[in-house]
Formats: sequence, C-alpha cells, structure tokens
Amino acid sequence: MKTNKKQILKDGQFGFLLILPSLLLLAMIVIFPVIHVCILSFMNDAGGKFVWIGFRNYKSILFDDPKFWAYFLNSIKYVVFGIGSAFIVGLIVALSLNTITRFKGISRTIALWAWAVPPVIASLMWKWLLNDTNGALNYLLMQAGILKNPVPWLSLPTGTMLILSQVHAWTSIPFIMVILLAGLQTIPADLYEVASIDGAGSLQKFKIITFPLLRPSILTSVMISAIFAFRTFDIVFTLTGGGPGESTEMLVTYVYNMAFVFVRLGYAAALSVLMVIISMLMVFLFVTIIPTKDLS
Amino acid sequence: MKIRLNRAKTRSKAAAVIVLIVYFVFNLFPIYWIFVTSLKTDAEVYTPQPTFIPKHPTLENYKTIYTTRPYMRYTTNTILIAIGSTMSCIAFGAIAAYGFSRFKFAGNKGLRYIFLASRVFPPISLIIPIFMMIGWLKLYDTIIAQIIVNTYMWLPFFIWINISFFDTIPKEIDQAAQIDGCTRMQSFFRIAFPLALPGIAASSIITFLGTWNEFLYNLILGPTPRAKNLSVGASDFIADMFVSWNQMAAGAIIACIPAFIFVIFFQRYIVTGLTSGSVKG
Amino acid sequence: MKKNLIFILVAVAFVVPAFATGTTETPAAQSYATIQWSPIAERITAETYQLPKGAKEAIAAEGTKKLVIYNWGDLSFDPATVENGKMFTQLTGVEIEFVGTPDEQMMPKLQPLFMAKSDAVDIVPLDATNYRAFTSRDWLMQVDMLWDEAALNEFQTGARNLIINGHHYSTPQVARVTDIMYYRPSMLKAAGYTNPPATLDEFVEMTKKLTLDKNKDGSIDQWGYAFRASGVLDGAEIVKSIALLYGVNPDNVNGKVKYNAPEVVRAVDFLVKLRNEYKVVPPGVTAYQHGDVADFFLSGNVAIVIDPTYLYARCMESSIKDDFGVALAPRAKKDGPSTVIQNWNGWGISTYSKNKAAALVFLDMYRSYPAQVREFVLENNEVLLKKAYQHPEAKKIGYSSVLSQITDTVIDVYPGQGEVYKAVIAEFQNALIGKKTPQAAMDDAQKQIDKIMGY
Repeated sequence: MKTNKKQILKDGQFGFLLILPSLLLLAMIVIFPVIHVCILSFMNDAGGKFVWIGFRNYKSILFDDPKFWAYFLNSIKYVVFGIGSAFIVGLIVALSLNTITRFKGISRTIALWAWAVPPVIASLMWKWLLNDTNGALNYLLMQAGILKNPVPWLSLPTGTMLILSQVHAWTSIPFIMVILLAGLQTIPADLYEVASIDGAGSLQKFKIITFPLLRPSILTSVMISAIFAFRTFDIVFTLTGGGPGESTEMLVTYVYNMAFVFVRLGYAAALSVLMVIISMLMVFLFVTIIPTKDLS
Repeated sequence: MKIRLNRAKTRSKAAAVIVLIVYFVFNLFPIYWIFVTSLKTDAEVYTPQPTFIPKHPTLENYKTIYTTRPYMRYTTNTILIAIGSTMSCIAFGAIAAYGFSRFKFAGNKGLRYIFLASRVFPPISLIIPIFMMIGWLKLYDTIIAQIIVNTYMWLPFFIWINISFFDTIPKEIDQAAQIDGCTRMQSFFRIAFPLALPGIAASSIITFLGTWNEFLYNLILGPTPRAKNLSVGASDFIADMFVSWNQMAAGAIIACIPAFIFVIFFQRYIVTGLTSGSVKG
Repeated sequence: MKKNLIFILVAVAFVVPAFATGTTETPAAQSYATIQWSPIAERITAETYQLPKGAKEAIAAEGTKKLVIYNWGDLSFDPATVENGKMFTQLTGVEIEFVGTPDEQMMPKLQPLFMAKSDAVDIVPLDATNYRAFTSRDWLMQVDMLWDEAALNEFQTGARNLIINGHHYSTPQVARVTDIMYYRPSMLKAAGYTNPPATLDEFVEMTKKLTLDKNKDGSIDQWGYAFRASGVLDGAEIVKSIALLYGVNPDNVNGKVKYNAPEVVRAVDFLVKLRNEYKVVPPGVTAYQHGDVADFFLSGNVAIVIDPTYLYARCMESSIKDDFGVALAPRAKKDGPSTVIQNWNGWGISTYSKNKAAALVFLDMYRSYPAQVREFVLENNEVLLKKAYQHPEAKKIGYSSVLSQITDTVIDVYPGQGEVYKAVIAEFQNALIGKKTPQAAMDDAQKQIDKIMGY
C-alpha cells in the first residue's frame, strides 16, 4: 500500500494512540476505586473497626449465606424477564419506526419519552399506579371488565418479581430501541429491494436479511441492558423494598442494605466484587451465544 | 410487479403505524398520568378513585417549583453536565472505537473487555473511593466533577457500541481515501466518521439521556444546588413523611423538556443510506 | 513501547492515590472548650435563649462563617427547622446551609463524607437507623459538656436512652408520637357509630362494618383500616406498637430483643387476621410505607388509620378538614396500657467538623425551650423537653388532649436495630401473605435476631 505522506507511526501504534486518551481517562478514574473495593472486601468491619480477614467474607457469602443464592436467583429472574420483554417490544418498535415515512422525527422522540423521566419519579409514580387502593392500573382494568377486584400487584406471593421486571422493561425499551434503530440504518436498502424482486415475503426478509445483519446491535443492546438490569436498584427499592417477605430482594439491594443499613462495608464490598464477576460471566455468555461473524 | 411491491409496502407501513399507536398508548400511559397529576390541585390528588382529566386544572404547581426551589439552577446544571459528558464521550470515544475497529495491535480484544469491565462495578460500591478522589482534587460539588464521572460512566459503552458500527464500514473505503492522499486522521474525519453517524448519534443520545438521569453520583458528589441535577432534584418533593405528588409531577415534566429537544435534534442523524451504495462506488 | 506504556499506566494509577495522605488535619482548635455551659437547665428552659458565656469568642476563634447541616427531608416542609435556623444566625452571625435529604439517601450521602474524613458536613440528623452505626465508628463528637443531671431531668425519660456507655453524642430534635388514631366521623356515622373504638375488640367490630362496597361493583372501595408493613421501620413498628398494647416491648424483653415472645406473636396474629380473616385492610399493605396510608386516609379510601401526629396538620390543610377526628389508639382491653412509640430524631456533630464551637451552640439551642416549642407548635412534632407542653400555643393544638391520655412512651435505640427491623419486616410480610404462620415467622425472625445481636 503506497501512501503519499510519510507515516511516523506504524498502523498498530497509530491505533493504540487513538485509544490511549480513553484508556488513560478510565485508568485514572477507575483503578483506585477498584483497588479500594477489592481491599475492603478482604476486611471485616462489623464492630466499627476494620480488620483484615482474607477470603473469609467470600467464603461466608458463597457457602454460609443462603440469602446470597436466593437473591441471586431473583436478580436473574429480573434480568431475564425484564430484558426479554424489553427486547421483543424494542425490536418491534424499532422495526415500525424504521418502516414509517412520515412524522419520523417526532415518533422517534416520543418513543424515547419513558427514558427522559427521572428514575426517582418514575419509580414513585409506578408505585402509585400499581397500588391496589387507588391506583390507576387496577381502576382501568376493572372499568374494562378485565378484573373484578383490584389486584395487589406489589404484594403477590410469587408474581411480584415478574411485575417489577416489567416495570424495568418499561425503562429499558427506549435504550434497546435506539440501538436497534441505528443498527437497522446500516442495512443497505437495496438488499430488501432485491429480496422483494425475488418474491420474498416480509417474514422471510426479516429472517434472512434483517435479523442476521442486526446481530451486532442485538448483542450490544441486550448485553448492556442486562448489565444495567442486574444493577438497577431504585425500582425494587421504591416499589417493594424487597418484599413481600424477601421475594423481591436482589443482589444489588443486598449490597445496598449491607453498606447503608447494616453498615458492614467489608461484606458489601465482597458482594460487589462477586457481582462484577457474575456480570463479566454474563458478558462472555452473550458474546459466545450471539456470534457476530463478519457477514458480507 | 411494481404495484404488488407498492401494496406490500403500504400494508407494512399501515401495520407499523398501528403498532406504534398501540405502543404509545400503553407505554406512555404513566407519562400521561404524570402530566395529569402535575395539573391537579392538592385536593384533587387525593380522591378515592383516580381521575384522568383534572376537574380544576392549574398551572400552580409549575409556578411553585420555580419559585420555591432552584429549579432553574438544576435545569442549567443538568444541561451543562449532559452536554459536557456527551461531547467528551464523542471526542474520546469516536476515535477510540475507530482505533479498536480498524487497527490491529496487541491487546485489542483484551482491552475492549477491560473497558467494559470498568463499567461493570455497581456504582454503589464505588462511591466512597470516587468521592475521596474528587475531594482530593477539590472538585467536590462542582459540575466538572459530574462531567468527569459521567464521561467515565458512558465512555465504555459509547466505544463498545461504535466499534460494531465502524466494523460495518468496509476497510476498502479508508484505503481508497488514503491512496488519494489523505492521512489516516483525515480519512477518519472525512470518511469513516460521517459514515458511522447513525452509531455516533445513537450513542450520543444514550449518553445524553443516561447522564440526564444520573442519580447516585450526582447525589453523592453534588449535594447542593451548585451541581445538583434534575434527577436528584426530583427528590426535593419528598418530605420526611410524605410525597408532594403534584409538584413532583410538574418537576418531572419540566425535566423531560430539554432532553426532548436534544433527542429531536440528534435523532435525525440516525438515517440509512449513508453506507448503502458506497460499496459499489 | 508496550512495556513503557504499562509502566506509565501503573504510575498514573498511583499518582491519584498518592494524594491519599489526605488534607493534613489541623489539630482541632480546642476553642470550644472555653465555652461555659453551666448552668444548663436554667438556660435551656428560659423564655428566650441566650448564648452561653464564651460562645461568641470561641466561634470567632474558629473562624466559622457557615454551618452545613443535613436535614431529614426537604426544608420547605420543615418550617420550625427553618425558623430555628434563623434564630441561630441572629444570635451568632453564623449562616446555616441546610441540605434537605430524603431518608433513603441520607446514609449514602453521609457515609462517603465520613469515610473520607471530610469536613464538608458539620451537623448530621440522627435517628434509630444511624445513631449507633455512627457512634460505633467514632464519627460523632462526644458532647458530654452539654448535659448534666439537672438538664436531663427537664426531658422525658426516653432522653436517657440516648446515652451510650455513659457518654452523650446528641441533643434531641423531636420525638414524634407514632400512634394516634385518625377517623372519618361521616363514615362512622353511616355505619351507625358516634364514637371511635376504644378497645381492640370494638376496633375489629367497627372496621368490619366500615369496610364497604359502596358502589356495588363487586369490589371494596372503602376499607375500615390500613397499616404499613413495609419500609425500613414501619413494618416492625406496627408489630411493636400492638405488642406494647399487650404489655410487652419486643425491643426490650428483660434487656433482650425478642420478637417471638407470646405477646408479640399475638400482635402479628392480630394483624394477619385483619388482612386475611376479617379482611378489613387492603391486601397491598405489605408494600405500604411512609405516607402511603396517610394518602389513603386523605383520599377517602380508608375510614380509620393509626399514624404519627404529623398527619394532623396535613388533614387540616386538605379537603377533609371538617370531617376527621383524632383519638387515642385503641387499647387491648379497657384500662390496658396505652404505651406508644416515640420516634426520636436528634442532632449530632461530625468528628471531622472544623466548626465545633458553633455546632455545639446549635445543638444546645435546638433543645432549648423556644426552639422546642416551635417544633411542637409549627410542625406538630412532639419533643422531649417537658416544659414545651406548657406553652399556651401548645395547649391549643388539636390533639393535645389525646397526648395527655398516653400512659407511657418508649424510645429504643440499640446497635443492630436496622438489621433486626429488616428481619422482622420480612418475616412479618411472610406471615401476612400466608406463607408462614405467625409463630413460625417470628421464630424465624428471632433466629436471625439472635445471630445479629450475638445472643
């Protein structure tokens, strides 16, 4: 490859130079806190003073603490049901927004509205809406004849986790939709033309063209949303506080309670580190299940 | 043949419109509820059954929040923080994503994951050390601190999203430009960046809205109106023992507006056609 | 090249922590030690508050211009606090910057400040959820100089519960009475009653008649009663308050915390029956906390609630101001105990504050007669200073007659309380939804409590 200008740096070095500013920025901000948390996780401060105890926190959490596993399972439920439905809805909405030709701008903006509401307010409002005494949702469902009696959505013995995951889905749909919409833009329109001429129907076009080429966006949007969902705290905390009983307690509320209610910072730090490990496992899981080979 | 294609197109457009209307009705109902509540008087908020159209609508709540609280300050803070963070993410992140996508260097794959991993720590567990660092730099309660922290929050995702967008641009285009005499940086600015605009625009919107809504770090690092944002400011309406619903709802509606303006402006860059056809050329 | 970069990176990573020596702490100007607090009792019960001798000089010596004080909840709902702040500024010339914070955000906001030994906060608000945690970590300054025996006698006996290992770390701000009964006379009348229930048996009978499907659409739109079984304190407090009616304080059964004592289980059983057998409370009680039940009362969804005294002012400003009454919460039986819980809030000074003289004066001032009267009169917050109840304005408060019927109050603040309450709330909810029997639920709670308390 001949180039006219002299290159001082080889290609590889140039590439590294491009990522260097970000690398430095992140390093400066992140390294100290991460080390701090890791060190804290090896300490015990139950009595108010910090004492080094090695891996004992981790051993207690993994082998002595049934709450950890129960809450872990709840977190998984939250993520799977929340991101699952958010993805399906997000995909359908992104496809629809991609198809319409008029009012594109305003439709896209309105579709993102749920995300512009401050989370504190959104959680409190949802709590009110799901209320069984004067909540709007029960009222409307009863008016429509679907329900005879108000359902205490936030006090169900087993279904409350599902409800919470759908509230989370409501907040996630805009994020997934935006990425998928941008991804749809990178699919050349001619491919669809060619397929139509070849007699393909909408469903076939989706299966053969859209879905495969959308894989990178799907991977990105679902994976990042899953990471967020795993860490989302205010929805559960505001709506049920972990109840009824412990049926909606999640790992992230466990960390919060450990750090700020019980003030056991060492244990909380160890929980956080475990949460990070689990999140990275999730990332690897996604990256292997949704391969994004070069499709040309 | 053309008529058949056109009819199919019209049918799918109609289906899309129906889907969107259904989606808007169900998905935006809570927002309608917030809007309606913001127009209610105190008395009407507390009725045995929910009401969907205020009987005595009032703009009193909007007036109150601006006169009794530094809401203007929260709004300008939030705008500054969001724009600042988004600009830094674009500046740092676009070139980084390009670097990851285009160039081979040792650790390319590994560093991508490390970047992502830096974001995987639950913010709750990092606040104490980050707070300490911000304190040492004497940036407590400043907007700069918020911009730094929010850039950290969104940069890894910004980069990750845009790597795959840059990946869709064929390398031949860059090389063609360089044959024509561009340096690598020039080919980035003139060719790759414009072609990757859908991804850049989408991730800018994400960064902006994510920063707009950021709660925990603003709570800890910006406790006073000097750097407080709208998301934390919403909790001003939470008294010790109860919530002032109508004022909070008015606050929510106000909080959405600038975000809206930003989105309307940026979403127009999420368009197709920039890459299609470029391969044939 | 790679190796150099790694070296640079590592160096960068440690440049920032190199500042970790932190701001060199100037030895605390012990100027506050020169303030003469005696005679305390006289000063704090005087009609107008006057600065103790040496206060102004000590504040000037520390160069204090401003105090940063965190407050539970936004200040616009705390007129008494604002007025008291103004009084302080008038007397000392020191400005106050109040930082209003909702309950759930207080700990996340304050903890980093303390862990970083920051001087960005001077005075913190205290309650049962954070007091012991702060003191066990030496985050609060000892304020023994503000108290003596005579001063303590001016306060209700609950004030003594706040002494830890013989030392004082706070002065009281308020101590809200948590259980007075609010009812809707019109709803009672429609059901054939003129007076609110006086015993629990009457209560059950009346709430059954007050739970109605008024518009005959198949679902209940008026409930007899509602309580809060969620939150950080609420759920445990309702159990405790009923147990107190049966004569037992679960936080102090012969010096131990025991939530599976027979009377406590009986209390849980009573509440569970209200939901599942008599069906006089909405099923969603397991998620109610804070102002939820108050909101329902104001909306007309519930006929009777038992809530703290702050609700009185809210009722007076609402559309039901001419249709609500207050009374003593029903006793277990006629002439049974009517012990109620008092929720204590206090002020404490950060160990790392650089303005200790001014902070001490604030604490001293806030528990004095004029300041405490303001809390009671302007915000309807009960206080621990006994003399405040003799103020003419105090006698005019709508529910003061109810207060005088209360036989006894309790204030319990002990380490691990937050964890204990969390366990109790979770198991209480399990009993409410029918997952466990009350006995089994409380036994499970007690197992966790034993672990937490180290029994």
